[in-house]
Amino acid sequence: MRRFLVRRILSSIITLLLFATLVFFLANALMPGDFTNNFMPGLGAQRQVLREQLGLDRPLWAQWLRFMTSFVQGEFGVSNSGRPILEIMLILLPWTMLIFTFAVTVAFLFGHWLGRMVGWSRNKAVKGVIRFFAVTAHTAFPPILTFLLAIGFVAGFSDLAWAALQRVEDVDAGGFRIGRAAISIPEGQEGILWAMIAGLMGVGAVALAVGWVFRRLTRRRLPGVVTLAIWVGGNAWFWSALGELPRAMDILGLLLLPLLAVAILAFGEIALVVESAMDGVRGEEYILAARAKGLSEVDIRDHHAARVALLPALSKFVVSLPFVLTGLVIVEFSFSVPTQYGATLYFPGLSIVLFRALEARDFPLVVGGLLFIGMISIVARIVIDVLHAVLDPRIRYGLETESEMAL
Amino acid sequence: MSDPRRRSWLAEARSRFFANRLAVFGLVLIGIFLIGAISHPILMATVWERDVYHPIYGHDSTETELTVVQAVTDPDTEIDVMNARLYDPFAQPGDVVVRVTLPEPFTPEHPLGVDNLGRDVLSMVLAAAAPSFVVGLSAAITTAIVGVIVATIGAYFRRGTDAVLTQVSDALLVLPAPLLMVILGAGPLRDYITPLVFGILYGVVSGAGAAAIVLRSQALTILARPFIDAARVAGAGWKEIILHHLLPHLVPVAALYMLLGVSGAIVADGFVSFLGFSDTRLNWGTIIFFALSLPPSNSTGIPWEALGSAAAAITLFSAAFYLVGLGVRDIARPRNS
Repeated sequence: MRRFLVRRILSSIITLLLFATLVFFLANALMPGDFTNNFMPGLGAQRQVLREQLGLDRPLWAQWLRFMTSFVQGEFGVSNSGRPILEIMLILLPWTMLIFTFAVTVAFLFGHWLGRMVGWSRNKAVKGVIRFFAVTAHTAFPPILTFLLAIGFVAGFSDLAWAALQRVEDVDAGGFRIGRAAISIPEGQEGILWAMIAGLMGVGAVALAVGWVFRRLTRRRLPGVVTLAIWVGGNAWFWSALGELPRAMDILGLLLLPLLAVAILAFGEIALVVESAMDGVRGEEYILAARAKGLSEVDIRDHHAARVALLPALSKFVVSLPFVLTGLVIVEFSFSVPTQYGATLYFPGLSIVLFRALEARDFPLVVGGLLFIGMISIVARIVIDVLHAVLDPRIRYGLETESEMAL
Repeated sequence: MSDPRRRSWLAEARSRFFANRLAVFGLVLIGIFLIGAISHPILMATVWERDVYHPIYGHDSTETELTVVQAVTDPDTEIDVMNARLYDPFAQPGDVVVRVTLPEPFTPEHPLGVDNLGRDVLSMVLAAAAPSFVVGLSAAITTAIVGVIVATIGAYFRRGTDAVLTQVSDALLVLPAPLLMVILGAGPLRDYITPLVFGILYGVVSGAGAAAIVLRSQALTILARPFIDAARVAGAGWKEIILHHLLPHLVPVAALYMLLGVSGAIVADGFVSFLGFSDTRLNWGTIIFFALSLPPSNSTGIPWEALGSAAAAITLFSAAFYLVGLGVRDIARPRNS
């Protein structure tokens, strides 16, 4: 396991460096001229001075070398607004990370549950309808999805979205600006956000551990509902222990819609993979053996057949994680697009640095945003790979690649 | 082609594909979109008047002249001063103002209604089908070609070549293609991004990235099978093995990835337009962009006709290719049942 970990992390580092190189050259290829051209095109002599200061007069490979050395040292440079990029990222990152971890977990659990149910069912009509539903959820156009969710919540049974929009303005006090448009970004929320992420993961691990201990002691399985209750209750207890329960609820209320949107976009693929894997094992002999032992149908489905479906689902997830992350950025931004039908809201998250900075032609910030998005998906991939290796010894010993079963 | 076993493989594939009802449904959907794409120029040339139905410049509205009065007795010909000033800020009693009303939806003239500018939604949605086919298919074909080439080279030659290609694929997988396309669309090169160029660029990134990773591991399992050794013993060179023994087994998987990739390209294209970066091009994302960003004009406030049609079109179009992909998966990897 240790060799696997070391190998995995080393190759991730190479991937990251290669990715940074790609981003650097793409940024240079896509934006001819240089950054100084964008905000002081006429001023010849002054521009020359600035170019020398920024090192833009040197050849491209020298610039690349400089970019890479500062990247390795954790230097991301300064955005055009004068604020260090790392600082901006650290304020925005936890917002995206919270939605990402939460939504990915929800999508995986729900997708696996749905796929399990549908894969085991013999009702062809229900199967067809659910499969079609899963496919359309997966291919839905994110901006429309967010629009429908927002309209649904605003006009429908709850004023949740509206309340959330107003709360953004509360947290907005004391922001900073990107570009011409004054986009205020809520500062000072990082601590609670990181605590929430850690809590969601930590309590989740505790809930799983409780289930394992329970099984060891009583030789029976803890129902999934109880695990879920431990998870929810544990988090609520954790937030109130921090004395931040109301603020945490506010943040959750704000994040609920993007979270739902991302979960809807991500669960379909998992459900389809699990469904087809479940369908495949139905005729296997060990299922027959389990049935002959007199086990209940639910037991066979959830603990004998669904176990097989877990690995392909994880493999699929490895490949589709970057796309889920992209979907998240798009969803985040769709909530911030000023329309005729809602307040102009700038949803805090990495989408701001990407698209708003793009509009403001703040290219150092765009490059920094891309680098951070790449880093998130590389780290997420390591986490899933390790999970995969724990579950499947063949991968640990390098007998099979992780994407073998992604088909 | 006279070999009976080869024919039976085709027949087998066909029967497996058609056993999947949803895949057939996807095929029907693609057919409907194809008919729509073909019928638009025909309709424009024959039935539809250019001034009214042109997807970008068309316009339809009814103008009624209303006399401004103090107290309205006949709402069809008169209007009070307060409301008249919505049309003409200096309206006085006795003046004549022109009220512009957009046509109602679900009429024979405008089956799907009109958008905020009075353009026929059906015409816009149909006109956007052809560029979507161009984007989707060029992305799909490029994905498949690039993916197969990268995967085959890596899997066959192994060692250094493979290590380098795998790392590049991993790095490209991390680079989100839709975001890259948005950056391209916003940059100074935006005028060069036609649907075809968009599709090809998207295909190169996703083909050398995600598709290559999956195809490579597939190629590795194929290369480990005994018939490859047999071919090698019989004296086949690398060209022979790749072309005659590896590729035929890789093609169904490549086809699957090609079809699944269409939806990604369509959503990316729609999103770039939705951001308003390519508002001179017509596609379903542009329709949504205009529907959301122009002032509302109909009574409900939200232009559901334009929004709903474009959203349904973009979702069903990518879903159709995905469903056909599921049918192809049944060919590539048959189910046990």
